[in-house]
Parts: sequence; structure tokens; C-alpha cells
Amino acid sequence: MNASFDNFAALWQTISARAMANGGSLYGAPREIGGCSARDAVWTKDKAVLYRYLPLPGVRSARVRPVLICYALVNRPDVLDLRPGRSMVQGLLAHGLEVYLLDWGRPDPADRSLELADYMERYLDGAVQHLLEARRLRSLNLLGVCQGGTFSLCYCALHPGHVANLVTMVTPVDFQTPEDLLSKWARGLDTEAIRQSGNLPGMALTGMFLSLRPFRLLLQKYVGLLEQSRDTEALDTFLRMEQWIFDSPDQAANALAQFIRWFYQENRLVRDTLEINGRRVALGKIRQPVLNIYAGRDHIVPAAASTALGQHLRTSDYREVQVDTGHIGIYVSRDSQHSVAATIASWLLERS
Amino acid sequence: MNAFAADMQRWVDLLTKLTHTDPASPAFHPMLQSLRESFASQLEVWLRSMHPFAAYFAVPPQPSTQFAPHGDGVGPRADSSRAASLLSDWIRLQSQLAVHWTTIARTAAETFMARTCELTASGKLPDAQKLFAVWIDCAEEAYSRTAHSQTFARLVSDFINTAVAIQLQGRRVRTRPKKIRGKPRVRGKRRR
Repeated sequence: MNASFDNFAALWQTISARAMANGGSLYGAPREIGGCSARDAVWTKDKAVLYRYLPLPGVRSARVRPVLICYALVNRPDVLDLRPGRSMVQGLLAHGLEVYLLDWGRPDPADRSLELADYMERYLDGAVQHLLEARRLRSLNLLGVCQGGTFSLCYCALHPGHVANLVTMVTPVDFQTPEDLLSKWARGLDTEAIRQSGNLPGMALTGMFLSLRPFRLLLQKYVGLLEQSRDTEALDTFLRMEQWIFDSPDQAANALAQFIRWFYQENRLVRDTLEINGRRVALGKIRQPVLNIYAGRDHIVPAAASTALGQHLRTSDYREVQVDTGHIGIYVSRDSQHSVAATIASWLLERS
Repeated sequence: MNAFAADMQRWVDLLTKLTHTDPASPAFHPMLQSLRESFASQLEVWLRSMHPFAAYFAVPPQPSTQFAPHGDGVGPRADSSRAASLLSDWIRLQSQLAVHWTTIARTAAETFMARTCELTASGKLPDAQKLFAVWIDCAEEAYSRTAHSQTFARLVSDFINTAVAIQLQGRRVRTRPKKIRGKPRVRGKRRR
């Protein structure tokens, strides 16, 4: 019998007290965790900021095109740089890659009318254009994560000349696969009412994500913590994850309504009916090399939702890599940090 | 957080008591039966109060404050009628959700019973923490079966749509009195 499990309540109080003393929060108002790697802001547009991560000391440049990370709107990108040893960004830097990250910022009521086209054509394209000009390049490597991967696919189809190689991670492509619970719940939503009601609070979205597996994510997780409660590093990782989970930014009303309707309800990306700013987004136009990394145990973006990409591309250079983990584990688990970063780096090096 | 810890402690105590009881003793099966009932009811309560989306979207505005005509009482009757209809929808959806929570809780408890009996028969009854993991598996399986059903998916959408509509209606009512009353008109030139 595990003694700590026997005395759950007492231990829970101890952990909570320690969390509070450390400035962390298990249920209270979250603080932004930021990242653990040194970075400079090199471009801004409205609330969007393009960051350049500083190279790690002693690491030689891999001499490949810069990698621009395009993250999702629905969470903060800090999870990619959670803490030393649990940072996808540091994994990429350790392979000598030049890493940039586009941070969309936190929408406020003034942003309620933003459209998906604004995110893709104003902010993502703005960041790409800035990078290309600053580095005097014709194209770069784009790494899209989750919803950011969907945006990256759209961007690549709309601006094929700007992207040399495309990497997608846990990216939904087919939004109506049978295992996709989020999709089933989203299909009957009244997107016009969502648009009218203003920005959706981040907590509502967090609630939806937690609802997909409530017992694992709200009960078992904390019991699992008992096994790590005396491991300071594990506890720190846990608290940072907690802060990140409960720190979803509000969602710009119009863009969210468009995303739900166009992707979840109408599945336009795979039906070849998606238009951004009046221009058709055809996955078949993507001719660049594509590396598609997905998680085998992903409950938010099921594997089939990601692997559908292979059926819609016309590139002759397409590779799929399955990682045996879940949607979040792919960025933060120690193993996948090394293996996924190494896979991306070697794939890009082969195509440099 | 304290409430969570106390709830968890109750679960842990129940599991611990079971694992400390000899499966061959006459007390074991009645204890398992009572655990089933207690687990089912605790799970149902947890789903009603803690289910994340239900908890977020389930707080309707108070009809007496948000939907009543404001100020001079000239609020349109249509608003009250619409508000009443939305609230009635919301209550109906809540009760439909409650039926699903009951089903999930009962199914989870039944499955847990069956698995615990299997483990006992094979002489592999694990410690309380592992038994808790079995319980979570049973709960997730039962939840997943319901959550993926078309009926439940429709219910989730209806629930959220109604909550959003209530929010919009509340906002409409709050802003209407200004329109009805209008701003005092100033005739002639404005003073500077």
C-alpha cells in the first residue's frame, strides 16, 4: 500500500501550500509561465509578436533555413518552452536550428472582429515577410503546431513560394473523423450566436478540453501527482503544466466562429472548399516536402485527423511520424522532446 | 481545493477498506456492493457539480435581475417571453444531462464491480492506488460511450447554444432601456 495515497488529503494540502508558496496556482488565477529560453522580440504587429530564440552556447549552427513556429490560438505557446529539459524549443536549438516563434498575443474585446484571414494573412504572413526580408531569404521552414499546423497548411497552399519545408505537429486536417469527440460536440453549435456574443473566455475552452476526459484530467492526474510529490523537478513541471492548462487566452469571436463553422462543421479543408480572403486553399497545391508528426494517443486531435493529410497532398516528399504519446506529451515529455526535435532537425538537414 | 481533497479522501478510504478485507470473508461482497452504490452516487454528484463544460456554461443569469424590465418598466414583453422560454429550455437540458450523468455513474460502478470481482477471483486484487486507476478506467469508458453518442453530442451543442442565447438575451435587455428612454434631447445650440 502506498502510504502517501492512504493520506491523500494531508498530502494534497502540503502540495497546494507548496504550490502557493512558489507562486504557482492549481486552481487560482494563473500567471503566464513565459518560457525558459532567452529570446528577443524582432517584429510586432498589433498584439502579434515574432520572437527569435538565442542560440545555445557552444552549439554550432546547422546552416539550414530558419524555422518559424506557428502555434495554435487556443492555448499559449509557452508549452513549447516549458522548462529546461522539457522544451521543444531547446531541443531544436540544441540541433543548431535557428528558431523563431510567432506569438499571437491575447485577444481583447477590440479584437472580436478579427477573422481567420487576419491571423493568416496579416500576422503569419507579416512575420514570414519580415523574416525573409531580414534574412534575405526567399523561403523558410515552417513548423505548425496543432491549430497552428492547420494555419500553416493554409498558408503554404496560399504562399507556396515562401515555404521551403513544412512540418506539422498534432495537426487536425480532417475535422470529422469518428474518434474526434470535440468535432461531434462542435457540429451543432450556433456559430452566429457565438460570433455575436463576443470573445469566448479562455476558461470556457479549457472546460471543453477537460470535458473530453474529465476523470483522467481532473481526478487521476492529481492522484498521479502523489508519486511525484517528493521530486521537486517533477512537481515544478506539473505546476507549470497546470498554469499553462488554465491559461487559455480568450478567443476572438469572429475568428472562432469561422474556425468552428469552416473546419469542424463544414470540413472545408479536406473538401477543398476553403477560401481565405477570397482565395481558394487547396491542399493539392502544396508541393513542398512535408513532415507530419502526430501523437498515437491524442484525444484532442485523433491520429486519423492528422494522417488524413497524406491523402490530400500531391507532394512526392511526404513523411509521417507517429509518436507514442498524447497531444500534450508530444511537446513536454522528456523522451519526445529529444526524439521529436531530432527527427525534425535531421529531416530539415536532409533537405537543406 | 479542500472540498476536492475531502472527496478524494473519502474515495481513498473506501478503496483502502476494501483492499484490507479478505476476499474470502463474508463481509467482502456486501462491502463491494455498498461500494458500488457509494461510487455511483459520488460520481454522479461529481459530474453534476464538477463537469467542466457543464460547470462553465451552466450558470444562467438570475431571471429576477437580468431579464426583468429595467427602470421605468417599459421593457418589451417579447423580452420576458423569450427569456422565460430560454430558461425553460435550459432547465430541460440540465435535466437531460442529469439523466446521462446517472447512466454514466451507474455503468461505471457496474463495470468497476465486475472488474474488481475478476481481480479478486484471480487473486490479483491490487492496492488502493491501482484500484483507483481501475475505477478511473471504468469511469472514462462509461463516459466515452455516452459522450460519443449522437444524442449526447446534440445535447452538448444545445446546452451551449442555449447558454450563449441566454447571455445574448441578457445583454439585449440590459442595453434596451437606454434605447427606449433615449437621451434627453438638447434643443438649440450646444453650450461649450
